[in-house]
Amino acid sequence: MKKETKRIALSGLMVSVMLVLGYVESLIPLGSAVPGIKIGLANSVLLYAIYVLGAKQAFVLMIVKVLLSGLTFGGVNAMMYSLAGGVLSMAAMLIVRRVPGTGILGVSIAGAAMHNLGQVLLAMIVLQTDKLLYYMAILVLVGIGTGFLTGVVAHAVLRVQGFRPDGDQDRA
Amino acid sequence: MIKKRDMLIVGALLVVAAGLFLFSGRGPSAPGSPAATAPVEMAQMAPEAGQSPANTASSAPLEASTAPEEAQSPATKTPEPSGAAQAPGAASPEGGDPAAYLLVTARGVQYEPIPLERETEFTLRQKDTGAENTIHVTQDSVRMAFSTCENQDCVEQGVVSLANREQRILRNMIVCLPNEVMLELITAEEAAQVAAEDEDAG
Repeated sequence: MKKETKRIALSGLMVSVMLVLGYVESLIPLGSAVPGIKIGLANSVLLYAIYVLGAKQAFVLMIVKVLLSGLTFGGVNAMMYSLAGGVLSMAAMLIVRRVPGTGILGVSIAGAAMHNLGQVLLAMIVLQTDKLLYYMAILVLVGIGTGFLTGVVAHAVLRVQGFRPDGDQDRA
Repeated sequence: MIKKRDMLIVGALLVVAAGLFLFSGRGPSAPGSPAATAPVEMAQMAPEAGQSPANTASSAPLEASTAPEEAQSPATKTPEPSGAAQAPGAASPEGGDPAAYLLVTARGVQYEPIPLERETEFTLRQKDTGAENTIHVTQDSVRMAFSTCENQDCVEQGVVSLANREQRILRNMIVCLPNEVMLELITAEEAAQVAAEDEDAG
């Protein structure tokens, strides 16, 4: 019971951290260089959640984050795009995590790249065009970079808290 | 901290990106079948043609607004170098062919390329949703001047010109995702190609 309470409190805390990071990110004007690009700071929280709370709970947190940030900042349209990115990203991260010998950076990079890919994929479906493939390639490359950054952040936080994110099977 | 297998992931993603780059170079661009029922209308906001009724026919959204001009010119007998209704790429004796064309795709329907002959503005209206986009064009550039969308990404994507279209991340495109509008600045040769593809499809 006590453990469950702690888990719920931790989840709530993480969602609020993600929402704040999402807002902070919207203040960083990266979009002028590459339209639609974000660092994905909130993803480092999800990454942390995967390692500390487990896959299922992390997935739920992702859904809650998408719904709440969509309702507060983005609107329904933006919500659809972050959902597409979020689901694909989460799937990629969970798969890569199960690959033996990969660390948190690989998980993070795969997640970020697939998040971007998912969003452009939805855009291509909506616009019914294949002309965005070039843009998709660029965003996959960008995702490798941003995924590295968020992975380093999550790694550092996990280390400070005494987890072993470098282990093959690390758990809370 | 970074592991060998992590590099494998990065490698795989690099391969994916390289593949996407390759595919983006070729591959047929699926032209949307021009559905006559598309509830999108386009009007040129130039003062000399402002009040003409907008044409909803998807094949030539601007024919209605250019018609009055041609009706005026025979009376004065002055040569009209810019025949707006002429086929893209057709040779003009005066050599006044536009160098750039605007290709509009809205709601999956690709419209006929619009020759950019002078600085003007077009407004794209979607009757059912109320979405509206205003496109500012010059003879060699295109810019989204106004949009009813919530994120204004399209407006922030700035100007596409014949000079910068290779350097931009989105190349020759301006995309408004919420309104499902895509603008492309194309050359006269590309416009002729689009016209040829349309003939093949139809």
